Amino acid sequence: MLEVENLRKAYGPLLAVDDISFSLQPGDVFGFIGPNGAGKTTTIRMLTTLLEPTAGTARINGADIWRDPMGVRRQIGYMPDFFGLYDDIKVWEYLDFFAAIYKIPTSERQSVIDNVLELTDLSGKRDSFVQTLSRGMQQRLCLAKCLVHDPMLLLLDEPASGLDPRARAEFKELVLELGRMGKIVIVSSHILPELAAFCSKVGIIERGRMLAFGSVNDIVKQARAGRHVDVRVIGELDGAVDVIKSMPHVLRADVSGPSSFAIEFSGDEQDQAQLLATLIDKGIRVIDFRERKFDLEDVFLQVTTGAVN
Amino acid sequence: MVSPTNWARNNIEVYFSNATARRDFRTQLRGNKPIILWSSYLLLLMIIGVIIYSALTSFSDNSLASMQLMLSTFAGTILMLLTVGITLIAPSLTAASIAGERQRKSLDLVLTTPIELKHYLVGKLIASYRYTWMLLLLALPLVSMCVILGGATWIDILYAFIYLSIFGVLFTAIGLLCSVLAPRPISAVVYTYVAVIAYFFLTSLVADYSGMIYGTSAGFTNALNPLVYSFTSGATTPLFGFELPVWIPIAVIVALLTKLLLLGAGSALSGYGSKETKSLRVHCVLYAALGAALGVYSLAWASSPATYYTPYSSSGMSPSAPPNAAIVVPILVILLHWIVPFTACYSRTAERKYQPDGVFSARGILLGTPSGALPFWLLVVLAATLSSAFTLSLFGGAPNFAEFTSKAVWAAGFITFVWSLARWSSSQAYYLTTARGIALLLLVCVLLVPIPILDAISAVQESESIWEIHPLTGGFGSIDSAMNSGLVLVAVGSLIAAAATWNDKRRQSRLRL
Ligand SMILES: Nc1ncnc2c1ncn2[C@@H]1O[C@H](COP(=O)(O)OP(=O)(O)O)[C@@H](O)[C@H]1O
Ligand SMILES: [Mg+2]
Repeated sequence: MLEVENLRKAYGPLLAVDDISFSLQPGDVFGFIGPNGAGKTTTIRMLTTLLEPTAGTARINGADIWRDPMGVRRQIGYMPDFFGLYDDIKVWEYLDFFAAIYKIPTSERQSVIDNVLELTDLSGKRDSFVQTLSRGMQQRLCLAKCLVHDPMLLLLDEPASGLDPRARAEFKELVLELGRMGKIVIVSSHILPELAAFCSKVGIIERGRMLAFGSVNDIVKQARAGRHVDVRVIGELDGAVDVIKSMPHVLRADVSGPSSFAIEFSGDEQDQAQLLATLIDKGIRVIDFRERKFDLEDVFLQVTTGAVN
Repeated sequence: MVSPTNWARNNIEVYFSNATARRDFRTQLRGNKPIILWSSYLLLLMIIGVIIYSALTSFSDNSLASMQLMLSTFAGTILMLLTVGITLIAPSLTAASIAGERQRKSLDLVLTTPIELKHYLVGKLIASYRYTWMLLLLALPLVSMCVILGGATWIDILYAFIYLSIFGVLFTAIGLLCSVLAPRPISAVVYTYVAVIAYFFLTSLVADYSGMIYGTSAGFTNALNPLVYSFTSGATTPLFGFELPVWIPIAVIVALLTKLLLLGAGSALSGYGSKETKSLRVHCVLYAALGAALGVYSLAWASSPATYYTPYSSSGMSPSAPPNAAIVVPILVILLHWIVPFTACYSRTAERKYQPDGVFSARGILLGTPSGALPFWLLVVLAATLSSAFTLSLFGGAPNFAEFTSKAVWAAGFITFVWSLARWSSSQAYYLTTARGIALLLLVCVLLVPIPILDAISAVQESESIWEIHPLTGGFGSIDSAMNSGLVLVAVGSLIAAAATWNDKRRQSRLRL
């Protein structure tokens, strides 16, 4: 498992990563979401031992990034946001180089390379030169390189950027497959919809701080302090709003359109039913009474503007 | 536990089946870049050969003696050109090897694997060294022309090739270190040339000092400079009572230097508490002792009774105990002091291992952290002092305790002073590079800028006494002046370092870091 404890990185007066802690279990696919410059890359690079934290630490299966960087490196596969492959080298030679670095015995290398090529759907490109591969294939080759030593933790920094929708869908399948294989996968992105659909855990980071962390459902529940209901009526809009405002549990009610208003309240489902009943009792002609469904996107917008902090 | 079979297997992996070297080899041979490079090199060699040959023939009359002289000059010039060519081309071909990977962003992919940096760097060295050998092999037709024409013998050529391939390793290693330190390939090339020029400059000073240029010395330290030394001979040097071929001690020194350079590169690529840094620190202390010993050795040859020396034999010559052996310590410290800021500067922003961890700690010596900088350098001074005194006694001299102590105190004081400038600039700057830049700038201001001013004052006063205030003067003065100057430098350094610490505390509370 991965434990991150109070990780912090200062760049001069700027705190690029500010006291981040979380932990992940095998099989977790973790979506690390935040706008550009939030500190995702910095966090990931500290986990790869490329960058030393100003304070705090992280452990992967007990290997500490300060005390046992080699132990950490043995267990991770890292795909940076920008990376270069070598020119004039064939796909299998590239993987053979990394297999040799990971000290995979010569006799097993062939089958290991075939396996990862199979997994990343590159078997047909075995003897191609890497510079002739498309962007999506290079991305998959880099992932294949991360897999030759069967690592515990995969760190994928903005893997989907620069991929066309089809390649993106394939990549998503691949990541899910890795999660099913019992690995911890960390996928960062500044685009939310890319991740929300398939991550089992999500962290939202802004200006170096982790604003929310947990499973998608938990985060949505946690961020949704009260229920939100949209109401549309015929005529008498102001009267309807006044009626609602006088009800118990209602936190606020605002006009949101020429014939509609929005309610935020802290009651349960019983109270919600009571709201509608009261409106109708008071003779207000309701044509629409709908609870607003929240998804991660709303939470993201709400959280990153500082509403939950 | 290190078993012999493991040791052997490990070495085979590093030197013979190196994965990095193999990968680079695969890419080196592909594409048409190598063909273009090698053909133009060959063409250049041919053109230069023809030009030199025709220039030389136009000077000689047709007598046998002058033809003979002309041909051996031709052979000497060709070999000299080859030396220059190798020293210019080999490091620049290497300079791109790691800086290039950094630029194309493939380096991080390697550094996040558990690769032993030794494997990686030796692999890179082997890959680049192949280029050096290609340069030598391609020059073979031209060089064999010298033999066929009669200016040199095959033995001469063999020796020249031995020397050049030895120096090829050294220059490749210099290129590799610069490639690690430089942010971009182009700056790596610049760094490399600066380093190579500095190497030539220093070694020619040694050669000059010990009298080689005037043909009076057989000390092998002369041969550390491949431009000064004529390689077309199987020269020997007396060592421990043996007549040793010069290339043997040179090969040993080059191998040791190469190891140091690779350790430096490994340490620069590695993080907090790496074994490369530990090893580098230990080696630096040992090499300081070795450097001091070589310095005393050169001085011994310089003070040998001047008998005429021919390149073919050193019989009848012997080094004698130099009266000024202790001077080696200040010289070594002055040669190295500019490296101090690179070990002593710290920054909270630093990517790796240069985060502030205190002022003075013995643990930091091996960790390579800023707190270890001062104790480390003091250890270097100590090692150099002891070694120079010991070497002096090998030549039959009796080390003067007070003299060696005073030089060591001055050296320690000067190091402390330079170190304090690095501390102070670190307390002012946010970034490591800024801190180092400020420290080096301060050094220039303190050491170089006063020189013309002091020069003018001493001219007006018609006395040299004003020079006493220059920090470097004490190192070359009398026992008393070295001692006093050293103590003053320690005091000033401590004050500056204390100011830096106070400054840093204040800044830290302001930033609440
Ligand atoms: N080497 C550096 N020096 C100074 N500031 C940096 C450095 N690297 C990153 N930063 C700053 O740290 C913050 C976080 O950057 P980063 O981790 O790359 O964000 P993300 O990957 O989420 O887009 C940014 O404000 C960036 O400007
Ligand atoms: Mg990023």
